[in-house]
Amino acid sequence: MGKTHARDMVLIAEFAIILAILSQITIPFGPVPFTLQTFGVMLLGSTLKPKQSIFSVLLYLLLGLIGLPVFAGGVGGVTQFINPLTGFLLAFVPGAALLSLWIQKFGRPDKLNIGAHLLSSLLILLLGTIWLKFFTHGTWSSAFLAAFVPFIVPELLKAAVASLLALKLRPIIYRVKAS
Amino acid sequence: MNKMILGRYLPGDTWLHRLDPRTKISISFYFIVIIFFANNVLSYALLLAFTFGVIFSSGINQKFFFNGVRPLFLLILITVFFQLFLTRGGHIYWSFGPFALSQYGIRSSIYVFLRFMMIILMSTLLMLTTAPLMIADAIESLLSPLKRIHFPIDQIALMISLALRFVPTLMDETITIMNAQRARGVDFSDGGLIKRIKAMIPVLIPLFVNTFSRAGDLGTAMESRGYSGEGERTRYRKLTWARRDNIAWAVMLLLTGLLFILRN
Repeated sequence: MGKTHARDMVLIAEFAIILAILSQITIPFGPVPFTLQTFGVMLLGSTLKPKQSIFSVLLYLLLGLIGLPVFAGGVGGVTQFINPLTGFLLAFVPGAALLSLWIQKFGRPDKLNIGAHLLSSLLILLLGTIWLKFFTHGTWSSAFLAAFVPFIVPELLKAAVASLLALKLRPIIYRVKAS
Repeated sequence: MNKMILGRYLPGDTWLHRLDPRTKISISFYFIVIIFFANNVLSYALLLAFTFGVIFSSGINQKFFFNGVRPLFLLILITVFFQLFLTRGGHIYWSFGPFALSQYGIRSSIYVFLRFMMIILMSTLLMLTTAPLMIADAIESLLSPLKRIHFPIDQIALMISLALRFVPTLMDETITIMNAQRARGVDFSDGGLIKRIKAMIPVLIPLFVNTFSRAGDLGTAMESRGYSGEGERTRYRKLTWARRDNIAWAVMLLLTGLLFILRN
């Protein structure tokens, strides 16, 4: 990480907690109530700098590892890191990294960058499914049926809404930072 | 809100609470490693007896403890289910498509279940008897050799403390902003999915703006007081290694010895 400025450290810590708070907000939608957890990951990825977003997500995972109930559903602890669904949590890091790197390198802050958001949510789903497959020693088809297919539509929808929201947030953040 | 700062920590004064957090963390990881050396009924029985011995002698509220771990068992059951029907070998009792109920499948799923149960019980016990800030201090202390390869363990520990300190601030702020927007007529509990997420926009904008400006203020304050992230930090909470920590490790080594006698 090298030398990090105090301001960045505070920002990383604060956004890790914002992600924890968003994970606790549930929106009942059809049979599956869904949380703003992956939504929060994408918002962080598309509004923060790559280093800030990656470390925020890593810190969030670390807070969960030391037992704080920061994950969706108010859970936390070592056991969240040794179960079939751990892959989704770990995938948040490359998911946020992909998004913020993309926006920094090719994206325009004043555009939707919807492709990057969709790709990031697909990456999270895919990595989570791969973990599930190897963790349970099951077959590819059963892993995809259990963890990929049912979530593809809501996740892509969340990605689309996240890109909309980030578009509104980005100019305001740049204004605050400039002042 | 306090729930999130404390995690699942139960304040108390049992012998487990008094152990040094470094001892507890290193022993928990050590225990997870030796669990994988158990390979027959006797060795599993020994580890199970040890696990329940620690739980019952710890003096924590048993009812609270077992109610708390119950939901975690659902996750193990999913794993066990896959293990049970997808592992093949030995006598096959029943099969259908890719699923089969075999001798090896049953045996390995019982072992997987026991292994996960012990890991869950032990790590929950660690969380319940150690405050998150103490766990963070202990991780910093245990990982301090990594400083030699310039891994910024000090900065990570500081960020954990900052994050813990910001839990109540940000929780209060989110609630205040949501109430302020409710007073202006925003409805968070009505409408379809997209409408509800859109209702979050007037919450997230002030939340993000405040976060950025506070980070700037606090960062400036830290740097003007001389924080650089490089000097050696002195600390308010000091971890002390006592005789009981040596005893705990001696018990673990004894357990390891017994385990290697019983396994085949």
